[in-house]
Amino acid sequence: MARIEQEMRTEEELLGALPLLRLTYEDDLLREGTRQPALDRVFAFLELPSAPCPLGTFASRPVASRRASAITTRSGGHLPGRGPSASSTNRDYLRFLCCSEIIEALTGYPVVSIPYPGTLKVESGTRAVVGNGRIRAIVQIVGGRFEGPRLKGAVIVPAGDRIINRPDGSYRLDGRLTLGTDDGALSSSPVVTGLIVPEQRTPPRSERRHWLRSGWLPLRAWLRLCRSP
Amino acid sequence: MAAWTLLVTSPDALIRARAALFASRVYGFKLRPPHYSTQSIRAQKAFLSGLQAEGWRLVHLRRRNVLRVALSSLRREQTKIVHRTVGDESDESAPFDVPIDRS
Repeated sequence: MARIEQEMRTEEELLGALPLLRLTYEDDLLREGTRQPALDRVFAFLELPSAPCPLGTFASRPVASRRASAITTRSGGHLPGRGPSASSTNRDYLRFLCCSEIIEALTGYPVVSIPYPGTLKVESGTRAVVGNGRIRAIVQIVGGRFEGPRLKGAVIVPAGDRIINRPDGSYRLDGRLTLGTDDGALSSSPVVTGLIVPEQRTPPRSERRHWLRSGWLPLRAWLRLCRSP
Repeated sequence: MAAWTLLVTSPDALIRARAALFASRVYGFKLRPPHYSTQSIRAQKAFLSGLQAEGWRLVHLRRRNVLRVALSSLRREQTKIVHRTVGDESDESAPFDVPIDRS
């Protein structure tokens, strides 16, 4: 709770002087009657023509009547027109939406979260060890998949990864991968290159071989997304 | 198979790239306070000002009920479900733990 309150204070400080549109979930989005006016404000702010609120016809219970157990119960998950059309399903879906997701549901425009482009899983092939002093390994990547909320695809081979053992016991990875996405709109020329370094120090030397053999290391990758020439 | 969680080196560049990829008239994303640390955005005010200078418009959504914000945050951290998009199957049944300080 303290962390959340601190985050909210930080947010207020950062946004204090900036021109923006302020919406409050409880005032603007929670009740059915206030959604369309709130949506109109969003449209006006974005200088877009107004559109009817697609969720305006659905019943949604107020916060006070929600049960705490609802958190652990299965309750649909379909937006209108996308799945089972029972109104209870839509109502249940609303329970779990956070503010920005409601905006997405209201507007139909994509809401993208910055920090999680997806997870990349690669299959490594042969490994060549070169160099003296700091050991450098060149690892062949023979395949893999990338799956994220918006981007899914496969690693196009040939691809490779250069690994440098650093004095602190960590590995410096430099993976150069090309992804062909499953999405037709992206399949023409997407290129993703990544500079990959360990998220944390590698395990003790005694365990390292096992970790390498098992093919898994705790890694954090920094992703640059660009189009190929 | 090795699994890597990907973070971006240049959030502003990623935003521009993704906005360009979507042929939509409007493109949106959400930005939460933890993103500044996970994305190593040190000059936070400058980052936001830069977005505005590029033409991005900020809609600040807040919830007065801090408890519900905290529960939402807990659920997000444990289930790793950050957001859902139109047509996605949600995993709302996934239980999550709420640590209770009894002291």
